[in-house]
Amino acid sequence: MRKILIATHSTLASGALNSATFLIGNQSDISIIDAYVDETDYTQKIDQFFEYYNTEDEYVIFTDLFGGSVNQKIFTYKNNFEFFLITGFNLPILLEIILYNQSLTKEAVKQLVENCRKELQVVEVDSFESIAEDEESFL
Amino acid sequence: MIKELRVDDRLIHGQIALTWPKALGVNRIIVTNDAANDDKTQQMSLKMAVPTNVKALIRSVEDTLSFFENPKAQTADLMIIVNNIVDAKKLVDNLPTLIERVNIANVGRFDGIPTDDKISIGSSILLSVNEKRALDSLLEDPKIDVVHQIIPDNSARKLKDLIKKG
Repeated sequence: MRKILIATHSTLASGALNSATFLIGNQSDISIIDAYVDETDYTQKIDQFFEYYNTEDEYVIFTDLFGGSVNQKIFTYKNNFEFFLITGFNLPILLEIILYNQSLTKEAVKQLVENCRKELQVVEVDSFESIAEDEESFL
Repeated sequence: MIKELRVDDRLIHGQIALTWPKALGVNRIIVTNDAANDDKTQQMSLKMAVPTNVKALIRSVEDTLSFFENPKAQTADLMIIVNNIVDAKKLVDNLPTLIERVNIANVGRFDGIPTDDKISIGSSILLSVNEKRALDSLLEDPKIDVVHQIIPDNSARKLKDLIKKG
């Protein structure tokens, strides 16, 4: 079982989950933390995420900013738990992690991150190769 | 085999690229659309949506039919996307034995025809008079499996049942 937590400053987390669900449906166990939307202590929700920690499960946490307080806080949980922490996440990496159908290794996660890093790009008309695909190569 | 003939008013887009090739076990998509066939910028934007491991062909309705005269094309597993039911009907009429199922996913939301003049089935199918006529004739043939399934995660629902519900 893969357990995913998206934790961000304000509502990016719930928004990212909504977009992912719209695109690919409910496929994983995904929790969210929209931090600082009210006075409540969001760190309790991190504790809840790890409450039934099971070494047979895979844990992946997405945060929005490398230097941000949410990422700093979650980083401290590395003292007690094994999990992948991906920061500065974009929608492509979130989808790739949800859809990845083998067990997640450190190498696999790094490779997925490298692939999805390329999705951040300036889109220009001449950034495309020849678009004329012929029927021979299609078949 | 055409694993699925999908009617989607956005042609290839995120939902399709991310989930359908895997769910259907295909790595080829034909976008059959006369307007896209003539519009280089639209072709580029469609190609943008295609994942790297999937091949795509953009063709007019007529050229799609000629493409399937090739025996190799007839045996290849693929998916076709059109953006309206009238085009889907043309393909079904001409390639009846090749199409496993027709999926009416999203229809008629961006064609410029006022919503008041349309019949809606659920939230993503809006039928103009022409589209309704094409759908009715599609449903007349009991051999053609016509469903509504936006993403693989949703269950496939028979179009006939959805129409009954109104």
